[in-house]
Amino acid sequence: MTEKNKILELKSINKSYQKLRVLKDFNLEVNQGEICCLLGPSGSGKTTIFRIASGLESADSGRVEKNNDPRFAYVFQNPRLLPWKTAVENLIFVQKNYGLENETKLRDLLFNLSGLEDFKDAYPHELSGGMQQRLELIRAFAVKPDLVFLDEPFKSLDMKTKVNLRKLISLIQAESGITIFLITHDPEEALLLADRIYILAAEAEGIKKEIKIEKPREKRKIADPQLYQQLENIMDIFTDLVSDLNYAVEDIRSLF
Amino acid sequence: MKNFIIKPFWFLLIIIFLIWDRGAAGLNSLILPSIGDSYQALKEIAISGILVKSFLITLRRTIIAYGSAVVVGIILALLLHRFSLMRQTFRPLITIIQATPPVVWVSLAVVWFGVADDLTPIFLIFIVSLPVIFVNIFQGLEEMNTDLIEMAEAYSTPRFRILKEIYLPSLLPALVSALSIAFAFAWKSSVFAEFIASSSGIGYQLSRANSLMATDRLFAWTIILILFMLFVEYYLLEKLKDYVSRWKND
Repeated sequence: MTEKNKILELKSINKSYQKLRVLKDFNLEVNQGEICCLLGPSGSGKTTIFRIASGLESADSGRVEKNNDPRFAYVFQNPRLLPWKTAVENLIFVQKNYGLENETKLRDLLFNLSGLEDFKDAYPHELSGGMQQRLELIRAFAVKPDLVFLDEPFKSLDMKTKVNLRKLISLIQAESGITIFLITHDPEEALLLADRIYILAAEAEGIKKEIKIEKPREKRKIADPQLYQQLENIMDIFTDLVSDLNYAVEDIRSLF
Repeated sequence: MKNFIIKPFWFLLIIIFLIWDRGAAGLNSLILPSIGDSYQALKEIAISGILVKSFLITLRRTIIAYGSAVVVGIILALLLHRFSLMRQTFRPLITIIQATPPVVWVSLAVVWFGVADDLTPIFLIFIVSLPVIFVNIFQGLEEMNTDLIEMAEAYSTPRFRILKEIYLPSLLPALVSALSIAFAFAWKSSVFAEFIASSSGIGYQLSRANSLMATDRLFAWTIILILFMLFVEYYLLEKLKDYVSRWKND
């Protein structure tokens, strides 16, 4: 691998909500052209990191450093589409901000890739949940971003849509070199997509482990011994977090 | 036109007319004029030109006052939504205005403006419709989906585009419902104020018919008032509703 260029770096970030401390002296870097994944259970501060890194929210202290003023795009957990605009108008709405509204070919390509080519003129309510999420995803790519933030984009999607979206992200990323910062709680998803995985344990505890995955993305299978081992390792980390319930064995036996 | 008064209503209307016809046959026309008498009275006021003249006067007053209430109501709602100090200061005042009976406002208006032809009805319509417009728009603003605004800001959308392409369309349904509710208030208040304190307009004609014991005319004017109200509510506003919610689920 060549010399890495950081596109984004979080330095000693602190963040609390009222009395709840979510991030304590948190550090993280995202390299140009990679899929960087933040993996952790609910409540580990993933979304807070996402919001601070992407500039949606500010930290109590610490710095967010960006290289060359990168253009950000966002895929939110629940699609944030304008209900009074059609699919294609939703894309144009954000493209206009960057003078890209005349990029018809780009839009057509994205609609074709996502299988939404027949729904360009449909309003969001006329699309299924999976289709809305696909639209949300291609809207991000429609602004020709340098960095796309994906906040649990596959949450509550069916298997087929998940595979479909994974393929789409993987292909566009590989061919365009757009950097992707992915947040997920699903270890499988992280292993199949990411170049680098940061594992978060619990709130304010910082990064528990960093995993690099060298195997080319298109050749990855979860049954592959190497990946499977990594999955086991990740599961172990999470298992350690869960408190032991053995103390209750006697009570369960006697009370039921 | 699909929503223009549903068919069962026509059926009900026929029954009402039948009861009216039966009832009028056995009663003095001063108490209940027949359909024929009322129609005759309607024809008379139409031919004499009083109908159109009075209707236009009342309509003009309603439009002026209702229009101002819409503009002021929207501005107030935006300001109170934006600034919490203003909200804490003025929000109860709106409730006070809303809680005050129209009769009090008319009495005050007569004292303040005298029996000035235009001012009393305009004042009453304004003061009665303002809280309705305000409350609806204010609620629309409070219930606005801030996720969409955050999305737009994240994609560096300029402020004026956020206002035009997110605030405005999300407020339109609330605005239309405000317009609809407030119009009913405005139209009735206008006639009420004219009845009490004006020498022109439909309300004044009603009060004249009343003092002359011309019950057939009273009915004729009432029919005009109701017909116009139905036209606005079921035709104009319905069209507007269809237009603003074309992107919504049926």
